[in-house]
Amino acid sequence: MKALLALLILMSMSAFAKEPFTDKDLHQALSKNESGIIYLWSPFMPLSVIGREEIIEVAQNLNLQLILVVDPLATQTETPDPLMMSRDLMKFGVLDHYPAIALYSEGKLVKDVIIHGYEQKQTLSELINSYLNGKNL
Amino acid sequence: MRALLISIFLTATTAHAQTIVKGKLLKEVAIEGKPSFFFKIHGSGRFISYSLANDPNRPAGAGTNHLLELATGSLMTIPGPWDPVFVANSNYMILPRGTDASYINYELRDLNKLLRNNPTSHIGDVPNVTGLYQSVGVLSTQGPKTKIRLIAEDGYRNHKVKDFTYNSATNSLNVDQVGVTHKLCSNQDLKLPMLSKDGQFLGGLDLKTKKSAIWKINPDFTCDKVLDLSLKTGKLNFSYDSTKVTYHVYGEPVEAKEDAAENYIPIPSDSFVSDVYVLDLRTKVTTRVTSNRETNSMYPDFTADGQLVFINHHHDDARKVTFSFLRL
Repeated sequence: MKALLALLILMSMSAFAKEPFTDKDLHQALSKNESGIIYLWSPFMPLSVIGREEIIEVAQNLNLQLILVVDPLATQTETPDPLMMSRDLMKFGVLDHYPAIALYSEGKLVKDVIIHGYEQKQTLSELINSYLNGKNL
Repeated sequence: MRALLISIFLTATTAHAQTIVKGKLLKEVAIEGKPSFFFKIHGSGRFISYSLANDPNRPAGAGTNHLLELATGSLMTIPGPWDPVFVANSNYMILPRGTDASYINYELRDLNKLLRNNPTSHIGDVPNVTGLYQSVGVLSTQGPKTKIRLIAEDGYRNHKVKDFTYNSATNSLNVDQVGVTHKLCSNQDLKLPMLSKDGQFLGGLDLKTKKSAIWKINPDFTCDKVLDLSLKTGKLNFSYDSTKVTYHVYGEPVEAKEDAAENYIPIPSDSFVSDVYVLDLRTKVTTRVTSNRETNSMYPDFTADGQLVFINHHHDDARKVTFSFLRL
């Protein structure tokens, strides 16, 4: 019985073990030529955690792809979100504050756009829409 | 307020995962749990405040604020879901009220009473200010009167500033100021501002240049940019005399780990390393303080006597989060 329990626990843990989101994954996503949002959150930053739920709704409403990635220091969360291990995103500056939102369109990251810090849904929708439509806010 | 004394593991460790390249390490304090990245050091260096996610494994809910007294190792739960801030080197803290992510109110608390679990630690609410990501400075101290400046983000690119005076002799907030809340830096385009300890400057992200910068706050609450750092940093903190700022920056990947980052690995890659820097605003000389390979040293700040304190999140998840205290 104990062995079964241990196995179940191990299986459960492996289900949520963090896989990395690498440059390869990023470029794969970009290559689809879709528009989308990359949302980086950290379980150690409560507002980014709250924002994780809200960005799902925002992306759905805007009909955008959504990539959820998690703080590379968070080895275990009860989400399937991969660890942020894309060096291109790191160099882009997403790790400087959580949450961080990067946008992509037409096969590339929207230049110089990172939305750092929690924003309410309405504001976020407007910001994302504007940036993806090329408006220099 | 419910105060809880939790046993805490405090050590002066001998093996340091972070690599100090400048300054003398005075002590390193290990704690249980992983604080959210924002932590604050009191000006005396005696207390640390930070937030913990209620359950760091689950994407739900707010956090809980904590106050750690370093001398005794006692850890208290204090009010608010996140962002507990000391009023520089004073006997006060400003804590957010509320548990959700709507723009919330702030309250002034007596630090000594908080430490004694005294239910009268609540001094008063800071009126007419709502926001997120607060930052606080002390404009002046005269006898029992402390003039405090609080800034908070209240919508995208919208920051508010509130100056008010607390008189500890009469236990009152200055009624002449409580009704007035100003827009901060309305002539600038910035985000994530942090006030200097004297409330006269701020450091933040310039949304036009996409680089970190420093601004002087004018008497009419407009701001003049005084320095562009030419790089994007984590949140900046000022020394008590406003002659230095400190920040962390994510470094270049460790090339030896290049292949590992492309393959499946269940733990964080060593490629992601942040290091601490100090910029002397008079000489414009930048000093690198850490050179990490397996640790993220982050959110550095100064004590009133010039010690540099920062948090270390080690890549090895088995290692406890630590706070380093340095003398440069």
